[in-house]
Amino acid sequence: MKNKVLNILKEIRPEFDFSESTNFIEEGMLDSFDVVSLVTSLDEEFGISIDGMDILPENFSSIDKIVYLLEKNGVSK
Amino acid sequence: MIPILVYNEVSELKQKITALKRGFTTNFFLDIQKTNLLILNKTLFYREINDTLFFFKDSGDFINLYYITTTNENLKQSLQVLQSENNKTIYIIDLVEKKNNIDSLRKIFLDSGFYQYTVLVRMNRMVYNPDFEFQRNKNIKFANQEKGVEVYNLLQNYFDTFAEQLPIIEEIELLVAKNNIFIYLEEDKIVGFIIFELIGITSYLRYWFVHPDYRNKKIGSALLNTFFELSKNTKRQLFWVIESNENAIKRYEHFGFAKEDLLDCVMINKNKVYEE
Repeated sequence: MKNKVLNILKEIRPEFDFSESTNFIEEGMLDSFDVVSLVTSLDEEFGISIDGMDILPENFSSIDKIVYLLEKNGVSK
Repeated sequence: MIPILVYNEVSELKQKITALKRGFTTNFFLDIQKTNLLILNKTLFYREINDTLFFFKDSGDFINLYYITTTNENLKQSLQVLQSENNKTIYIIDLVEKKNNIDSLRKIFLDSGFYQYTVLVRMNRMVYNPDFEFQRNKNIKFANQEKGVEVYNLLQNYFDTFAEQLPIIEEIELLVAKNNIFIYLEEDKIVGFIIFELIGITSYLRYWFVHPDYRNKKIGSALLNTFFELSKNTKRQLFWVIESNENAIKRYEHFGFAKEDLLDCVMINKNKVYEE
């Protein structure tokens, strides 16, 4: 799952190395438009609909947080 | 239109759409801080039409329109309902999308009673230059709150209120407090300024201005060099420019900026007030 998430992030922002970052939002790697693009891509890739209450920047700030969010929204490991 | 009273309502409204599990598409990209300023100012409202949530930012003479919906088809139907009820309100909407995807979205609005007002393109520069050689200019200072008001008035007078999502005065106050506005002074008068934001490794050049009476005096480049100095520990610098402004784009390319494939298509609805 982590590799799929990493690949989606690379498609959205190919200029950055997400594997080295601990907080994509604070480090300015993803902005609010990118977060929405990420939600759409994750929904499509994993066949889910991420809960609107979870669409907050802090929930997309690291690969671990994104994986946690996916599991919370029904994706199994 | 129903007023939004706390930020949590925005999340709850998003949840209404995602709970339908029929898709998710939106142009509501405002960050939490900016959204909270609008809520405090009592200028953010919403309305549900079918499975679309419209958000309205009251900008005085016009409304900035945002949406959260399931599909583009649903958006089209809901827009037609909104337009059919209105002939006096000016709606401005920003459609931010990659170049490949913008046409289908733009068509929805063109088919629903909107004109294209203008298109902006984002430009970026991927440069990490902590050793940037900077020549300080004694005329350039950070704005204080009093000068912030002057900057606000210059924005209102010289920038396009429809196309450029100008900051409200409360946002200017926050930017001043964070030293995100610097000004070029001639005998205590602001003749140029830059408003910018630093977020981690990204620096946003939000507004760059030189007074028309003071152009061709290297004030613009002095301001831009100051921006580069303040951004020297970032890896990416961004800003938006009107796509048809080829002279400006060439100047920015000279400084190493390149166009991205991200566009902001600004649409305005057909209405009697605008047409008059």
